Amino acid sequence: MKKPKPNPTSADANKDGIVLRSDDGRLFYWLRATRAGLWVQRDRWRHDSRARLVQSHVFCSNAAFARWCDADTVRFDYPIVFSKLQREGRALLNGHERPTNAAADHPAG
Amino acid sequence: MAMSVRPTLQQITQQADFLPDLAVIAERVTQASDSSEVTALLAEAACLAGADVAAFASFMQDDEFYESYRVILACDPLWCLAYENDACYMHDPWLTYARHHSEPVLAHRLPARTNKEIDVRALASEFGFVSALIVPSQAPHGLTRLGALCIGSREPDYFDDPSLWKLTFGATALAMRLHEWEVAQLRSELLQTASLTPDDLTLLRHQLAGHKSKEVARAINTSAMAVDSHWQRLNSKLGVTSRLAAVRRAAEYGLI
Repeated sequence: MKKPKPNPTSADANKDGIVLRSDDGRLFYWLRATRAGLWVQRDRWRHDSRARLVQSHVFCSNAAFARWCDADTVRFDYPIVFSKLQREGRALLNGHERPTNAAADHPAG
Repeated sequence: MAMSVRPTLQQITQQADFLPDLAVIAERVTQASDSSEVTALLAEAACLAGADVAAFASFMQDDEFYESYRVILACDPLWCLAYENDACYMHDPWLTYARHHSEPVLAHRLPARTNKEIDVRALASEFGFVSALIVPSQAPHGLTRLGALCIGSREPDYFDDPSLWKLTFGATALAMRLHEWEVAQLRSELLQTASLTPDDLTLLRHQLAGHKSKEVARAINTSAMAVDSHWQRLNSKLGVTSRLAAVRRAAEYGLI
């Protein structure tokens, strides 16, 4: 049997939101505007260490989201997906952002 | 201007509502409809405990090819990017501890045995987990999946207090609820991606009970050949190469 292709489908993402995926199926993003801010789930499959790492976070401001995007090295490997991520994320945050929560990113901090 | 003095763990846990409030957060996790709600509840729990950051990490052997790590972050998300870039999951002393223990532990009591482990610890510290409480959440025996709730503070000795037992008590319940919630999401994810039917689940349960094709065929009133054929389709749906792997996957995802 052939090695199965990654095919992650988030139960969260099926409810609503925007799904972005790379052509090779190794990088997925799910974005959704929530009451708390922009929820993003990043799902990356790595060949080298045979590992999949799924991380989710809620961004409360455009600045925090932009900082996270700038720090992600996959932007060099997947420039098209990454460009869409930035555009869609900004749009969702622009519809949500309020002056009261612009100062803080993570609520625990 | 007066500086605000940060309350100690002892002062926080002395509040009459501390444990009831933590219990309420844990209960709300079970009702959360998506991970954005869970992230907010995790942040709320960290705040209630006087901590600065929190994360819930889970691990699972997905199939024959991949291990998966899922992290819900109520902290600076750049931590997880750096964590992934350096493949820290392969050398994480907190996850290693959670694989083999069920008791909550203070992170500084866990030895970092290699340079890589020291680096992983330093990275966590850089992102707010200067001191941390690690609360493992185990799956039933025989499964690989596990969870670890990490509650962190920028103060080096924040958790070194006799009243820590109150936090560990409440955090254990929270870690269990987070783990249950994660498994429910995984179950839902697999049901959707593999389009599993009730007949598929019946077949998986028979395999779990050790039934051979002929026994299954008798039980569901069909032929052994039809059962074998059904198995081929089911293995393909699950992306595995054997019945054993199919059962393992279904069990890891909480389907059977």
